[in-house]
Amino acid sequence: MIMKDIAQVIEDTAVGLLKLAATELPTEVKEVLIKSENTTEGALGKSQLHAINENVRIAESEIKPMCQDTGLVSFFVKVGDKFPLKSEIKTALIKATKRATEKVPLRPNAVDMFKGNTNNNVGIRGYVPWFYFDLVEGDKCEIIAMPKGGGSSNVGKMKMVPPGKGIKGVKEFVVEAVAAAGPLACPPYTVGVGVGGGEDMCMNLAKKALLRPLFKYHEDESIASIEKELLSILNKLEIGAMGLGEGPSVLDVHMEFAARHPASLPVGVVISCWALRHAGATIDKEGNVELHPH
Amino acid sequence: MHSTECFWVYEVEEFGPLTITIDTHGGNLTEESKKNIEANKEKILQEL
Ligand code: SF4
Repeated sequence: MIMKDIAQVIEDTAVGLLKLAATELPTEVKEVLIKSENTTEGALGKSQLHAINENVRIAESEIKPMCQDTGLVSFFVKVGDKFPLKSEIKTALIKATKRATEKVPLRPNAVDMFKGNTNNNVGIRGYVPWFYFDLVEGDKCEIIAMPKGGGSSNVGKMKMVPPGKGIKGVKEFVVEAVAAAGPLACPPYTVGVGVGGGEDMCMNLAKKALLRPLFKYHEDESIASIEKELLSILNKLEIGAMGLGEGPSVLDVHMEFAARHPASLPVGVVISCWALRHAGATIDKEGNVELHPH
Repeated sequence: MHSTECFWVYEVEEFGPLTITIDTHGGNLTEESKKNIEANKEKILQEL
């Protein structure tokens, strides 16, 4: 039997994931955008959603990025204890990012503050692409590529809410953050909210919340009901498609909670534009690749 | 001074229909929308 070069499998798979994420929206995102176009009454909102859907359709059929901003690249990786590679996963994903930049192509979005654009989406100081590593049981490695646009990242917000304000304070801040985003970041939005941990962890959780498929609510009923409540409240802002007041403002809201320090209540809000892009795959220890449903 | 991210030059056929968000008569759809969002926000926060 010929052993597969696992590092090469990871690299090739990640190039494919970056390409898939950039060119094709996850099914449920596509579906809800089409449904929104059909149910939006105002011509202004309908025309914006029509343009978005037409663009999504062409991007997918021509295998071209759906937006000129192909995002800052990050990877969510779960490594099984018995998976043969560890740090080489990182090396392979960095190589994949460079290759995908050429191949897809992705817009070069990694800018060094002093040396300028690296032209390959890889930072010269070691932090981009950004990795979220997790250690899990088993012998597999799960990789999710998430390229996130600059426009919608610009409207992300974090607040250390006074703990006395409790869950009402959390909701208030989410409303404020999404209202401040307003028309700025290509709505309809998907909103990720992270509560607890520390000032950095809440933002991590908020971003991770965006990976949960739309309309799949938190397994904890009390959290799920806040997600649904926020979804309905946020749509009363009437931001509308591309911020023109007609059609949905927010497609879905997902929340993740961590324990918090008694003296703090960190809340992170990470907002995705309509182009909620991510794609994942699981690789086993022999190098067999299984793409996640997309 | 505003800095510019990028310029695109297009040659197009069958351009439009388009939505004019800022016209030459002082109309600005985005500003109107922002005011509406702001007013809705105040209402939502009071009712929370
Ligand atoms: S906010 Fe999203 S859709 Fe808008 S330009 Fe940025 S990446 Fe593209």
